[in-house]
Amino acid sequence: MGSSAHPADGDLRALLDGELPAAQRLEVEQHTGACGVCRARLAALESASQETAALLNLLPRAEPDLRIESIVARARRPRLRRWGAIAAALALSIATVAGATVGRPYVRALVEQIRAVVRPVPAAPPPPQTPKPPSLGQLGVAVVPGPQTDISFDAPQSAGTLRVSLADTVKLVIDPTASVTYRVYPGGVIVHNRGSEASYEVLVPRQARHVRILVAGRVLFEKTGSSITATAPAEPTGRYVFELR
Amino acid sequence: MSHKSFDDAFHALFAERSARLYRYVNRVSGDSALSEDIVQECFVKLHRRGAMPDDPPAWLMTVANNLLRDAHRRVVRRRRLTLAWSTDLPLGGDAPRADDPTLAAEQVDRVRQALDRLSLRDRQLLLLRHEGYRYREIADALELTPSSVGTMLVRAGEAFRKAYHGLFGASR
Repeated sequence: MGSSAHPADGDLRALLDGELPAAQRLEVEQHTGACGVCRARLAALESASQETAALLNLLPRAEPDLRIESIVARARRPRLRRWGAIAAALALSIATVAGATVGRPYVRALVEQIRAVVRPVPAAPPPPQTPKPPSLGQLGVAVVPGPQTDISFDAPQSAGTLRVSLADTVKLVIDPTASVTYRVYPGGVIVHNRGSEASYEVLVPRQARHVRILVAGRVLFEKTGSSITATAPAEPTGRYVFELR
Repeated sequence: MSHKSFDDAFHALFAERSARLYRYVNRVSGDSALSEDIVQECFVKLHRRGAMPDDPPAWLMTVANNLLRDAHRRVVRRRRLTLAWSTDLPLGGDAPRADDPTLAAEQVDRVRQALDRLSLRDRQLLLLRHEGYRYREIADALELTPSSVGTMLVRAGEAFRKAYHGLFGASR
């Protein structure tokens, strides 16, 4: 900034915030001392900044419910399973290519072995003529609920929360923080969450007739028409938060 | 750094910074459960790191902002999944309720609605500064040059007040 040029708004704001380097501060202060236009602008910026601060002060000063012991315990939990899965997936890709190329029995057996680690085969596979239901490791799934829809989580988790809200949508949405596998069937969705630590946001259409959310067979949330029963109270926002433990 | 001194430093940092970090994340996201998850994840990552970074508060802030950005992407993806929002969903999904009984809650809703009209970057800028972070810290956290922070704060503040007055007129 030259001595005669008006300082930029950003410099005036930095002056108000005490964030201008010393040399620049002196220059801007000298200018505003002699320039009525910039003094007025400085006052306007200060007033605007105060109004913004007053509005932001209306936001609640909420305190977190965090325990350092559980954070440390979670941090110390071994992460070998994740790395093991990555290594197995990599080996599967290589072996699949090798199996397709060479096709020798021992390569195919190896592929099957690794596949069993990455994605265990269910005990009772569906008959071959049955169309294969979607079963994908993915982030987020949305389905149109039927007369009764069950969202069934396979297992409790060692960490993670389940947040359920009603929404003006036509689709029921399950949105996890990490990739999990789903099985969609006419009566709902099965979430294969065993071993996962993901949290889930579930949006239930307000118009859905009958929706249940279960973890390992235990019903946490049930909406029948406009009536809701849940094992946790509704937050002021109307949302229900459940621990997946 | 020995295990003991790291653990001591970790505990001290948690006591000193966790509430402030949570307040910032909660104000940006408007979602208390998400904010607790994010702050917890920041400290889990720090503990797994096993050593203090050069500037631990700045490191925490950078991790928190990355997690906020991921959460923001998830909300955008969720909007695409549903295709049928009747209104814009604020980040984190704490949609304001029309039947809030108290004036205070209504005022909070108004400020939240105005904030939710801003870009994530503008929200972060305003709320970091409001929490008392210095320009250098804001620049580090948001990958800006410190000399641009003043200008961006002026613009973010204007956008916020314009959104607020556009929604609710001059009333507070």
